[in-house]
Amino acid sequence: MTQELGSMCHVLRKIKAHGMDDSKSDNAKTREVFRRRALLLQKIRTYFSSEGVTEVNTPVLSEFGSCEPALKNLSLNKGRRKYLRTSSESSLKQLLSHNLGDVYEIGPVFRDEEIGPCHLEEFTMVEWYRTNVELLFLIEDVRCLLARCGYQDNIDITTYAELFQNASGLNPHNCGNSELVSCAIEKGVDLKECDLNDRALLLDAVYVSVVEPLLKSFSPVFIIDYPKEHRAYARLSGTTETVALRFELIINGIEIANGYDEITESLEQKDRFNTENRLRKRRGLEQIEPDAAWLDALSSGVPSVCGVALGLERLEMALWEISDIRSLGIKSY
Amino acid sequence: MATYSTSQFKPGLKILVDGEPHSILVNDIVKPGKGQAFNRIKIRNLKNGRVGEKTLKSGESIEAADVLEVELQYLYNDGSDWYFMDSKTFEQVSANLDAVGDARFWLKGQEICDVTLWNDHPIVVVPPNFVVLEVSESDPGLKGDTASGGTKPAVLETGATVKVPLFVEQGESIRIDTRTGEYVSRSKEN
Repeated sequence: MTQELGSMCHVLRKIKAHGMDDSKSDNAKTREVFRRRALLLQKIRTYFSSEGVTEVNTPVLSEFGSCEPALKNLSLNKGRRKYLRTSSESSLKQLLSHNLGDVYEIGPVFRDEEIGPCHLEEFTMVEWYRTNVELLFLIEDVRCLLARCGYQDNIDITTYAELFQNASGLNPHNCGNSELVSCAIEKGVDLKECDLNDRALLLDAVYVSVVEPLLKSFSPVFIIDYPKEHRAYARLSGTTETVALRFELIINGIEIANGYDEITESLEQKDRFNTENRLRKRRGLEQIEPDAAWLDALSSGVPSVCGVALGLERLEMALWEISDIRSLGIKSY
Repeated sequence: MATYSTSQFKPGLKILVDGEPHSILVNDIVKPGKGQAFNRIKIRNLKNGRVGEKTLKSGESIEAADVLEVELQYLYNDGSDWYFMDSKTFEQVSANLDAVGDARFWLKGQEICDVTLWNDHPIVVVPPNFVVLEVSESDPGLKGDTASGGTKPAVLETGATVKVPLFVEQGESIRIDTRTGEYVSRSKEN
């Protein structure tokens, strides 16, 4: 009887499999994307497990949006306004204050209006925190994770200043705003509607017109030591405090990961949120209430920590030489 | 005045840059990590064909160019301007030398051309890919020399000079590829 059932199931499976139209190469492609993803996730989890980093799951919905001027929050307006997280940073820092040690999360994050060959409004972030380490440790950590995922290429380290200066002739830490303006205009950037005292914006204008086009032809690189205008939530270094302890990993001209030696002082973090809101105001963007849960976590004590966020789909682009990130999902018909 | 926001940018969109009509060829969004997003566009000047680049802060707007591509029939020229007609409405427009450019070498009348209108004025005239024109002047080729592949200059009824095989004679009609300006074959027309 069991034998009969077994063979019956076999026949049924065959019939079902037959029903799928494999002549559609889209089916095969989608299967490949998701099988590869599953294997990649396994490798990432194995790596973190071997390193003693704990996997956590935190809420996607938050009471607070991100203040970062460069990010557009997606929010839900049912009753009280709720935001879809732009990263797991706030939740993970709250967990750090509970002495959970090193933690990581793999999950969806949302950024409104980011759509294109390298951008998805919803993408998968691998974000992790290493306590009591230097930023260079975290860079090596990223290197090891990538090697574990099968990424073979050598990755250099260079400073933002070196890249910027070689490409534009300007020192990003101390050149004048007017020099940035003329360099950007010369490269075809339209600054008519821009605030010419917004140094972060001017640095970006030169970066996208001069530096970024070069990165595509560069070998993979960790960019370190960002100018303080681009510190985001990274600590500043040394007594002069001109350089932010932040890195980005760039492969084929695309940002794969972004890491900080994190701000752990509540007051300093609050000051960052306020500064960002001032910049938002200058750029005509909505004000976002600073994340009180994040600030409370820092007030109650968070160990010295370095953290990094890595875009999973971006990593897949680098691993499988994929040119359009939108091909990494379920195809919508 | 119509404008397009950077979020509406896509290849083929017609915009005004420095007062001249341009078409967007490539639209890239470039966003430094944690930084301001920009749209970097590759654009072609519709009047002179020159390709350039421009970068704008995402969220900004740019003036739209009122550009239309239409099929018009060439009628005649009066020495300074070339006249075209919409064969449905019988409306006529005139195009100057800048707009007609090299197309003038291939037009004798009746041809249906692709005309780009900017604010209702022609800025580019593209002739049909192939035209048939009469050879008005050409030295006789050497007798018997039909296989050597040699060529000679020939002046066409429009005034253009093209290279033709030696066997082509004055008064004959020939087919020209207007994209390359080269002789294709003898024509049975005429």
